[in-house]
Amino acid sequence: MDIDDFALSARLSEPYFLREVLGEELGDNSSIHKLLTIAVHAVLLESGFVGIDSVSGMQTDRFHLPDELASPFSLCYSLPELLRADYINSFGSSLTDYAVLKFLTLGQFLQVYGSLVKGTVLYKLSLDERRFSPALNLVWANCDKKDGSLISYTEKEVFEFWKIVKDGLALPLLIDLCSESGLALPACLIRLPAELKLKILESLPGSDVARIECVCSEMRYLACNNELWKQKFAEEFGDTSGAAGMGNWKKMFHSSRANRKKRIGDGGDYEVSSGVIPPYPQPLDHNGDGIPDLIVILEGRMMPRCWQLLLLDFMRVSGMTVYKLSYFGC
Amino acid sequence: MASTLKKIILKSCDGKILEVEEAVAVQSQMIKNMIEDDCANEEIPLPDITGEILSMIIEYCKMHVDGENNSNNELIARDADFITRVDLNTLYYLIVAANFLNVKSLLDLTCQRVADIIKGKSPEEIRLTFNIKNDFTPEEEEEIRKKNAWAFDYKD
Repeated sequence: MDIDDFALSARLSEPYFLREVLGEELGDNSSIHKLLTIAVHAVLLESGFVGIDSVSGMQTDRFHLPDELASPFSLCYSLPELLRADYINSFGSSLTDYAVLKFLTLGQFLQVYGSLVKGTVLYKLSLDERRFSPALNLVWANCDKKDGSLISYTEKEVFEFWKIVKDGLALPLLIDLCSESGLALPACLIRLPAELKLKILESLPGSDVARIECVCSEMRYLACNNELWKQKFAEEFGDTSGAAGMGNWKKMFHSSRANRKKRIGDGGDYEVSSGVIPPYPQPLDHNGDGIPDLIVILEGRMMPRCWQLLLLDFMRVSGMTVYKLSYFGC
Repeated sequence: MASTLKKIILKSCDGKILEVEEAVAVQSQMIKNMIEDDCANEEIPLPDITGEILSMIIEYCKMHVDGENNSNNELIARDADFITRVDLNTLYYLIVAANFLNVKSLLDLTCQRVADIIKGKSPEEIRLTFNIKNDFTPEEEEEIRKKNAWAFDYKD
């Protein structure tokens, strides 16, 4: 089997799931808002949520939405565990927390606000209808074909949509609701074994490791590891034998960095060593705002997000890729 | 014995059975060791790995076996395409499973992906992205921030 066929057959689960949910909820004359709203609803269901009626607090398998949705429009979600009789009994009432999504239409954007009813944190997504509706429409159009194969463009856009909604909305709400209700937390990177977290830190530049220290006490403990900083020092400044002895490598890293920075002027062309720009064919865009993630370290200096970078040249030097870049502010 | 065509049978924790060519299965150092110790003749149960995650891992291993003759750049591009589709939740399960099965290149790829997501983010953004609770007192936090002020030098 060709690799692409294999990849396609193995990863069709999200589009199939979406198609199923669209088939259940979407009417014939539905607006684009409704299509997008139901697609968000599908991600919530796939993440483990169940829809509830905000008045009765009972589980509802279908929302039966009108073709034209009001703006703002709300949907409520809970978890199967929280709706079970024994859970409700052991906590004396059914007045546990639940999640609410508010949908608001602003021009071509569907704004989605998610929060727990008793919570204080609000998660916000802004979904571009013009971007996602073609792919979602294609999934919907293929609804009646049981094995209709999706072209890869559609598949890619659906995965992208799924990722944005799941990472930005469904998972944070799930984690909040689980921790509020005393349920086991869903998978979250903080639960990785320490050795694997350390492995992740090993792949980060020194300044990112230093900032991770400020996140929480566990990360602080891991990010203070002297061996880790020895490695960071070696990566940035090469030889560690000159700075012999059992010193504080983080301090040495910091002072070497400060010294080097003094020698650099402003603007112009810089050479950047490997590991700075991921060697991907396209720049990554983690937050989906359309601006590529081009935070780079130029001779140890962190560039803000708003800098434009121009790749002038790159070459391989003793096993490392050196990128020659020009930058200008914007 | 036609060893290249030998199939290894893997069973996920949710009962899904997957038949995998030996050449693909040995991308996992753990399975390779089992084969060498002659312990892989029956189905291998994999606790804690769901069928969905297992098929993703096999997809990845197959991609690497089939792509052995491809150029390095092509493989890197395929890796990037594979990993950027993955949401954070799935990424977590992939890391745990790659670690358990000891598929080194996939473990490197997944951990690098997390690092790429962290890169350039402020502590607040990292907390928000990974839903990490800030367990510092305001005084503690200020002190740590002060100590690491140099790392917040975005503009200087």
